[in-house]
Amino acid sequence: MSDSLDVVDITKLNALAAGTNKKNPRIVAAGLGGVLMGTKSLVDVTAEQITEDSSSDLLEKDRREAAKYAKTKHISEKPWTLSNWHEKINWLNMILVVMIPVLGLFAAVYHPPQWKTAILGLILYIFSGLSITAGYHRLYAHKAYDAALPVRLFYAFFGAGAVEGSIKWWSHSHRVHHRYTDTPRDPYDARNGLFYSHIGWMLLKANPKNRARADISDLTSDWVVRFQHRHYLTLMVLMALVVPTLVAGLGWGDYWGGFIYGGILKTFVIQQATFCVNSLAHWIGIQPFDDRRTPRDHVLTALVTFGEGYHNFHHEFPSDYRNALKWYQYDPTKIVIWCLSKVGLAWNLKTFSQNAIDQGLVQQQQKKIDMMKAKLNWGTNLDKLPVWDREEFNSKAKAEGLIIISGIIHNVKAFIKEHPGGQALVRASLGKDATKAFNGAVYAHSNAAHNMLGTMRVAVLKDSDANSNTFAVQQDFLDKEKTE
Amino acid sequence: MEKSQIIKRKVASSNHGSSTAPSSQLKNVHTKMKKRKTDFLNRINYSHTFSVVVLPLVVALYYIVVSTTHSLSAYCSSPKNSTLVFSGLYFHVTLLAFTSGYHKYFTHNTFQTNSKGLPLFFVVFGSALGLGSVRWWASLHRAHHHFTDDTERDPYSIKRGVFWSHCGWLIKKPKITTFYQEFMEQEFPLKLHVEESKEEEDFRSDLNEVLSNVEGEDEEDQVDYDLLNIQRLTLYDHKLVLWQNSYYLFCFLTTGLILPTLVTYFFFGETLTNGLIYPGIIRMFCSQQCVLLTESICHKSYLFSIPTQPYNDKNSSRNCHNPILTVLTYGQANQNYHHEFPHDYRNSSSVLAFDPTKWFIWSLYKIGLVDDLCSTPSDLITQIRIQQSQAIITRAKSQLNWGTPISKLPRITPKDFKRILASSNHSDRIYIVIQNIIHDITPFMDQHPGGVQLLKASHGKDATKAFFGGVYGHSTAANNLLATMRIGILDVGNEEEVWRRVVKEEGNVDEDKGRNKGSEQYKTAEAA
Repeated sequence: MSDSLDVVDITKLNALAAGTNKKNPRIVAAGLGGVLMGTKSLVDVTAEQITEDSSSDLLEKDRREAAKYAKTKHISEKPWTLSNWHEKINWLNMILVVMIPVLGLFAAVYHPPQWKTAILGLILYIFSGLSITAGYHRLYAHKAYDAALPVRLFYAFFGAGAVEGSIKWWSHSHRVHHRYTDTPRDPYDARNGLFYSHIGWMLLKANPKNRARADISDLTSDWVVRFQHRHYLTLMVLMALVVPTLVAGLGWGDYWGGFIYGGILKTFVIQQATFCVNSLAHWIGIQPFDDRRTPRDHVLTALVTFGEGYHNFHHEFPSDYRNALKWYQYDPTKIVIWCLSKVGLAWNLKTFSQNAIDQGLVQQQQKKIDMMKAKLNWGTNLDKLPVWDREEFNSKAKAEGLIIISGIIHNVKAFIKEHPGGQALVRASLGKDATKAFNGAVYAHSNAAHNMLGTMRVAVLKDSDANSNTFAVQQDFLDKEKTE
Repeated sequence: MEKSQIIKRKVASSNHGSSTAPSSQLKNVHTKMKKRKTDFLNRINYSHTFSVVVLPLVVALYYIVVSTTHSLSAYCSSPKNSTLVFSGLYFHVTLLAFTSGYHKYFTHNTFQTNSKGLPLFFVVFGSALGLGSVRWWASLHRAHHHFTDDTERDPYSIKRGVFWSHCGWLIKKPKITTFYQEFMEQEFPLKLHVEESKEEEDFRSDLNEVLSNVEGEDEEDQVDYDLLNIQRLTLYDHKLVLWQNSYYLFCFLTTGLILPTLVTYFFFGETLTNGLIYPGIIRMFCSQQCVLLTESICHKSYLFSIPTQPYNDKNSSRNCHNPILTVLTYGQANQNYHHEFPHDYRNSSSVLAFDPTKWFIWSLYKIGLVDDLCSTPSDLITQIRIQQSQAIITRAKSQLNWGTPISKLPRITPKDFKRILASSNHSDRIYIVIQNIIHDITPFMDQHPGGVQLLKASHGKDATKAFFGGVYGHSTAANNLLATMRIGILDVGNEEEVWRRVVKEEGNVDEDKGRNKGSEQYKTAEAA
């Protein structure tokens, strides 16, 4: 038995965290769907590389990468020119996320909605939106709870209708986002600006040097996830376009309305709402838990994203099934999950202890106060003051306007005229020990007065018997007053 | 309340005198009740009851009677517009005389004036509110600031109920009469020497006492007494206060009722009744309520607005952020500010705050009538705010579980730790060492956002690097959670490192320890 303790093998742990330790059965999306999920090269990274990067400085890494790509730069690193701009753009995403919705908006102008179609669109919007927030996000990406098969199937189908990729792809990039928040590895790095984190990251080709990976073996063990990933494109077209068109068409003969409002526009709204979590939630709002990273809490973000707007909390406590804590904060996803748990369709709801949450709040408040404190003048610290003896004090007292209070010499010359109790009292005590007068014999000064006095310190008096702190003297005075 | 007291007394006395004959006992009770009754009648403050309760009630009754009886309504004409405008103006004049005169000048001395007319104006028109003489109101208000929330000595303590603090204290005289009389005598002594007031004498004796404490410096003992003449209230003010105290009822009836009646009668041709009612009684009632609301609602206002206590939460005064209340209390709803900085001539640190009193005093200052405006430096206000929020946070911190402090953890040598790991009792648990502290992660296993596998792989090992960025740079929340799972400290002979951490953490978490070592600011901060 050796005396020292084993140190964890970080490479091995990183392999675990990235899910590269075991040969996962590779699930390939059929046909065009595979292309849609993003480039394979982005996730093609080994645990050794991750470990090397996280242990070395990021700048160092950038330099290494720069040397590596010195000759053949990736397209995302080249400057924008008239000749290469089309190469920088991910055209598939451009068509799916921007062009089709724009066409849909144009079509909507010429095809005003029937109210039945509008309601259908609204219902599908709610279903798909909740599938993304309660399903993709809180269930799959964060494992905040466990859900029954019907619920998971619902999430898989209606989530596909939101056209945001398969569960496997979406959860993986979301886990990467949480693992590498505000680093180059973060796929929607908020430090690159609002536009980039909203939609830019999707429209531009990503730089393969910022490769990252997270373990999703728990997801791939679920047959629903595997099934959805394999047949993603079929499911997407079916749920996003065919179903609303057919329902509206067969129901009340509004094929085009179903296609435009229930299909394209609904998808567009959900996509934009989801992107808002990546952009707005890192951009506007307050940071009650931790301000070291970009996530923020804001009610506006919550309103457009089914309650995902309390992002500062979410990044601090990711596997909590709630996003909003207070009853008045808008978080319908939380309520849906809670209702599901009440009817037995969901269980094992994870919450962080209130203690941990309060700790975060308190620490952040303390940080803010410390910052404010640092800005103010609280007077020189006692241990930094010079020590004078009586002779020195007596020689300077009259000329400089000095007063002793609690064994500390204060320069009150500039303050004499501002003294609320009149200047006479201060004048009369110049060059004397006014501890008792200050602490109650004449007037028991307030907190504010103590603060002000602190800013006027100049020195500590040597061999002064009144060296006790002012609080004790004041307390004595109050006690005496009570007994009298 | 009075009745229940009487009954209680009755029961008590009947128990006490059970040995005596029933008839005499009954007599006893009767006389006692009579005595209570007369006491009760003696304790009513008739002049204030008249101005605060009776007059408004009479007006209300008058209107009810007039509106229901047709024969009378002929005699009653509705008021002219000019009367209403005059009432509004007069409301502001008298209320400003009260808030800036009675309150800011005589009670809190927030400014000084060399003019003789201004204090006279304050004294004469302030009494139009019917809330008593300056001597009475100001010393009671000083008592209120001095003994806030004390049920006995605070004249309008909120602890005796909203009604009491609103107008009950005006109707009924306080129980401890002698205390208040002494207090009044101390604040505004009745016997005024021509040369120097008693107040000055007090100051002088205090000063002498202070000076006698200083050893040596014989020549310094001669205090420059001329300087003491710069008093907060001048002799003239003092005489004025005493004059108004003796002629209060005369002042009140003149400025409160007779003057407005006559002005409207002669200048606007208004009827005498309307002149008495509108600029007289209704004006008086409204201005009274403005003043009284600050002491009742602003000390217990969660009923009407979101109250906050940003400066001090050790008393009941609150800042009410309700625009309606701000207007109703004439800009004095920020009671927490006022209680912390009573010498401030403003009622809020904000420049934009609705505060007519502040505007009035400021205008007087600009035209040169008053000088030496007291206003709290903004740095000081921020300091108090910070100290208050620090106090709240410290309280919140002490309520939370921050894990076992390092100094109280048992020391476990690596050998012992390995033996623990090897023993079968602990086979289903997960122990991870981070920064030489052993953590029992078992209860948190399933909640770990990064999965159980990572924890299992680190079981029994030092995962410091992995925890702090090697695999994942954990959040503050994660650090806090980790601290709650501490079970022991790994004794690898690195004493200094351990103690440095003890000082660092427990200095922060345990405020008292940190403060004793730290600067004196904290001590003074806790003082009030």
